[in-house]
Amino acid sequence: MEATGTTLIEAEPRAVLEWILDLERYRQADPKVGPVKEPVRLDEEGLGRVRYRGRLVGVPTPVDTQDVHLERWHRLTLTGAPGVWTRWFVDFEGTFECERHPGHASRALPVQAATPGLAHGSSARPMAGRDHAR
Amino acid sequence: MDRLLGRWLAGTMPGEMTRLAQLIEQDVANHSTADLTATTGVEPS
Repeated sequence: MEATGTTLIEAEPRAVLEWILDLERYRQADPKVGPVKEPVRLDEEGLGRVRYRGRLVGVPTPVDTQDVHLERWHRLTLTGAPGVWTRWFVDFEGTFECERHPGHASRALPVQAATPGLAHGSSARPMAGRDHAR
Repeated sequence: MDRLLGRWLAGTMPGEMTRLAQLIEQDVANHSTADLTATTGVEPS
C-alpha cells in the first residue's frame, strides 16, 4: 500500500528537510509518528538511524528502528531497518523529495509505503495514491 | 485489512501535507523574525 502527495511550502528545501528530520517536531504534522526514542543522528554521508513508536489508525505500535538517508538537500528516505523483529509485521519506506518551485520556495513530495512483513508473506500492492496541492 | 490501511494512509495524506506546510512556514517566519531581532536588537514592527 502506498500513498503520495504534493504540497508547496514557503521555505527553502533545506529548511523543509531539516524540519522533517526532527521527528519529535514532525509528529505535530503526522500522527503516524509517536514518541521518538532515539532521534536521528546523521554521519557526513547523511546516513543514520532513528527509533520511534508509531501510531496506526490511532493505535500505538511497537518501537521501530528505521534507517535514514538524507541526500542533501533534495531527498530524505526512511526505511525499516533490516534484521529488526518488527520487520515480521510490517515493512515501511517513506521518502520526501523537495525541490525549488517557481513562485514558491519548495515543492515537497512525500511518498509513504507500507508492506506486510515476513509473517504475512509478500502480497504488497500499490494502493490509491492521491495528489494534494495547496 | 491491508486495503483498509491503504485507504486510511491515502486518506490522511492531504491533511498531513497541509499541516506540514503550515507548521514549517510558521517556524521559518518565526526564526526569520528572531534572526532580525538578534541582528538589530530591535523587535520588528
